[in-house]
Amino acid sequence: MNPESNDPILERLRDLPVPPLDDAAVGRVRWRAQAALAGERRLPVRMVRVWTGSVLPALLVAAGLMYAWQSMTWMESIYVADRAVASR
Amino acid sequence: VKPTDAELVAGLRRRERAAFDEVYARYHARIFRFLLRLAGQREVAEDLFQETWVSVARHADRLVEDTDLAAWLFTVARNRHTSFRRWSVLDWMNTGTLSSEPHDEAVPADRRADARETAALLERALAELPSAHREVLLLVAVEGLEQQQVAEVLGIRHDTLRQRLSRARAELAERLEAATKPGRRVAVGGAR
Repeated sequence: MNPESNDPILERLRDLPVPPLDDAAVGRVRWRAQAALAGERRLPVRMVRVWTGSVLPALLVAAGLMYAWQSMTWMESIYVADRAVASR
Repeated sequence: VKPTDAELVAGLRRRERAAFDEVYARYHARIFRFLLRLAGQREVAEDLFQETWVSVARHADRLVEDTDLAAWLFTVARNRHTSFRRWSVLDWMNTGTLSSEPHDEAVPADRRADARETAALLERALAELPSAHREVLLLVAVEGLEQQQVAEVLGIRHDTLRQRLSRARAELAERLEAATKPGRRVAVGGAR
């Protein structure tokens, strides 16, 4: 029991009318949460950790390296090749 | 026989749907009420309410055996709200949105006795409190959590909680008094 249980202001707070949540919203949220409960069971936590901790960063790094290499190749084809043609 | 909170925690750890349904049935109205008064906006509260329960479902199997179910649920809800506040201008927007009364008018004396008006005044005064004060009052007075549970939800020590509760109560009383005095304007958007 709270020592403040006899405090008149807190009593008034306690008696405030309860704002309702409509049944449709209650059902919708329960359904989504149940889906999350079932979904997590199908996808083990360890698999999620491996994916977010190793596989995804490795893929991002690889994509970054490929992008950088292709950019370098493309710039080389424009500037270095053009300079070679001009020097002839 | 209804399962105890401890039995529900055990069920949640096993990710049992029946346990989750029982927890939801038992606590959803309280969690929504807490979020609505904390956020001050119905749309925001509904979003946070959904995020809270999805988070509860996702992390159910990480619960430890002796978890205080009520304290944990309110902690998850509060964390969702805290996270939301970091990314929004909620404090600027939310003042008094639960009240239908305009802020800059003192309440006429002849309507003070009306119960609805009194509730609206109280809602407004509560909404104008700084978030830290509002949440401690909501958890202690409205939700009736034990002080030990509230300290756990807020992540503070028991003596800090007592001080915060005392300050929050005093500020609420001050705002209520200011709002009900004829000719005085309600202090809106005070220190947050």
